Amino acid sequence: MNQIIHILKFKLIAFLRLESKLTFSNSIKNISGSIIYLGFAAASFFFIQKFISFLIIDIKVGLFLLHQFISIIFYILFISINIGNIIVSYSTLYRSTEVTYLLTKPLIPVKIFAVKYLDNFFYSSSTLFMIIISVIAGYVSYFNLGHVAFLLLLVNSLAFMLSAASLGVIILMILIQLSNRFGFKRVIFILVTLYILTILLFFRMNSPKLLVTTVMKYYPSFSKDLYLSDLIPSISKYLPNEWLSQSAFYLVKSDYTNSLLYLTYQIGLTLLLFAVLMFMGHKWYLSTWLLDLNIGTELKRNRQKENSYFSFSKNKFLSPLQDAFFRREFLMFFREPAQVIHSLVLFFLILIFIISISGIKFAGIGNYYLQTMIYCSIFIFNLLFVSTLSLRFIFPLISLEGQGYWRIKSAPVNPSQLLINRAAVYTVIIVAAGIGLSYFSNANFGIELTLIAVTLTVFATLAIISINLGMGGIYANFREKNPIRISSSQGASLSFLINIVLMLFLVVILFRPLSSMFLSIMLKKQISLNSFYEIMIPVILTSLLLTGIFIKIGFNSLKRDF
Amino acid sequence: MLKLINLEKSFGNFTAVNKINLEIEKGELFGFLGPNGAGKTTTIKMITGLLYPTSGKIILDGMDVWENPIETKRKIGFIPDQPFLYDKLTGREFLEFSGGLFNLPIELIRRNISQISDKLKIGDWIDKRSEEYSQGMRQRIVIASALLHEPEFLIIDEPMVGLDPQSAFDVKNILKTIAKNGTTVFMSTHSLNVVDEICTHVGIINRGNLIFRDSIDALRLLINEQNKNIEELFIQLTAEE
Repeated sequence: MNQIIHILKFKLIAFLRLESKLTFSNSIKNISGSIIYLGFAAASFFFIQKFISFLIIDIKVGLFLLHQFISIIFYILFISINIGNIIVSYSTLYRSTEVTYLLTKPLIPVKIFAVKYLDNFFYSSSTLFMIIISVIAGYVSYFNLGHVAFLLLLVNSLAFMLSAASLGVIILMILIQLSNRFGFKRVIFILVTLYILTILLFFRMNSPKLLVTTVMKYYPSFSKDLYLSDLIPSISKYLPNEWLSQSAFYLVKSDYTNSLLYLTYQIGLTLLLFAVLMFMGHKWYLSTWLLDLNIGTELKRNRQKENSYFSFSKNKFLSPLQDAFFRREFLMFFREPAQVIHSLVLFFLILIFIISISGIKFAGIGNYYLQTMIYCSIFIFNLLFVSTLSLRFIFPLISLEGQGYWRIKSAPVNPSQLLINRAAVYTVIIVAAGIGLSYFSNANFGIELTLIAVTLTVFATLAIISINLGMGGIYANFREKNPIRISSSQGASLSFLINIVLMLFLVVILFRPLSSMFLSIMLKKQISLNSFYEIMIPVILTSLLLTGIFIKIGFNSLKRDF
Repeated sequence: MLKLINLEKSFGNFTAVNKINLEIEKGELFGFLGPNGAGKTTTIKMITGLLYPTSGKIILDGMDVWENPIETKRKIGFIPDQPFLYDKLTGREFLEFSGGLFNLPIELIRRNISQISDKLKIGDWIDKRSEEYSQGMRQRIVIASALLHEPEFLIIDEPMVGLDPQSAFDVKNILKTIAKNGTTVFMSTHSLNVVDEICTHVGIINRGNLIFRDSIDALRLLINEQNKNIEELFIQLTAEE
């Protein structure tokens, strides 16, 4: 234990150190970062209060439905943390030079495993913690629950997140063991399929639409504030997201006994998963680390000659400079498994999402406010996909120049031109994904509204891409080779927060015309699109302004000393 | 002190180290030579616990390295070819951190830091953050961290990388001194001059096979017999067939 504390102590010292040179630009960077964090925390706090108020008072969904929505959101969060931890833990537990260094020291490998697991969890989840603390504070404040309830919900959420992360690392170790026996590609394919089936199965059993319809059917025969246990599928009652939402539900009802019961389940599961994780770490960490090294080396040794089909040298349309840029980008992308696998998973998820949303027909039935909210949720979800893609592939662009940046800096090349060329490829793909998402989620509303939505999405996508490009320049880290680590750094978190602020701005602007449209649909009146045309101007102008500012920031960052 | 018995490492069909047998006695300064990709780093990684041997044994001071990893690692000081430092820690903090990993009392760590940093001429740099270091200064800190717990066995992968002539001279003297004081040094290098200058024994590995192992005097005799210099002899021994 002493050695673990010793390592954590020095890691904490290193983590808390600011930039070594207290320059004006570093100070501005740190102050701006703090302001964005604080601003976002405050915004989350007020937003969640308004949101609950909107659901409870305006839409009158009742406490039961509110907490079922919370349960569904936390299910998505669980899966996201879980998958995120599989990906990020792989680089921190298996590909880190720090681990290689520590393994040569007289340390039991499980200690290194524990330190790196905690390091990974707290480092990559720091922004999520901040959001969750603000959201819980907003929730507790809205229902006037007091400090004890805040602490109970905080502990519950932390335990929930730890369970998701522990399960992710357990799956990762099993994945490496199975990859050695059955082959990496086959195991990954099975894992992705299992995750998709899990998500589809969950939404089949917990359809929000079915839940709302069922509750509304019986209302006002019974209160919507009752815990309607029979409406929850029995398997869902054993899931940590349900325990968290039920614990919160009973806190609002001042039933501490039931709330603490669900908290106990949550902590029990966390301790169990953590114990299993540490046991597996003790048994398997070193062996899987060595296995991974062997698998990697064998893959390198057995690599076939590159496919000449993709040879750029045959291409007469590109100048030698463009050829050099694109070829490097192409080869480095496809030779980095993290890039290929992660992009495949993301695009697969987008495809699943497109298939799911294209079948949703929610207009014209029930509460038009609720319909507006569902539309806005889908709109935000679309932009979250765009933001994730940008964060993952645009944000690291400048950092990934890496230690080899000297070659560009010392060559007769305009670095801005290089950045444009590199970003253009990813921009085309992300904009195409954004158009696809927007088109299929609006296809039921007629061509004119679809075109408006697609136009808004394109401009918002360009702004999001530019924000990530610029922020990636400000927080460039040429020493980090791993794109996943770069995408989960603090700079990336700040970039993500700015993206969310932009999304909220868009939702606020869209809300009025959307609710009018859904009201018209419900009343079977003619839909007027004039209000949509009116909001396009501020959206386009804001997007273009952000695009210009952040591209300029990205270009300026290239002039910094290397 | 160190015995490699039929040590083999394969990656699929490729054999990186092919059943090598080697014995190094206490106080030897052993130069491990070989062209790129010969198996030097793979051998070192197996000794330091970073690669599991496909077959064979590594015995250090009578203990199997893979059966008693903690006890054997306590005896080893390791300087890798691509050393790791925490950028935000100062050299002193990194050395205190390294000493703690070996469970050394803090007073001993501080005393040793003071002595070693003098010998390595680290000076005021010891209290600056690693991110400000040159390649040479990083290398000196890593060497200091390997010597901090007064290891019985020092393993070095390319010790002179990034060192200026003065630092290289200092490091060579330190290695000679600690070997004289009984520490066994296992040094992998490309630098034939360094081997010729400071090593007491030499091994040459080529395509995973140990093709030469003897004292430096025996190597010099061979050089004279063949009427070649060390460089020419090395090229002849490791030439592709």
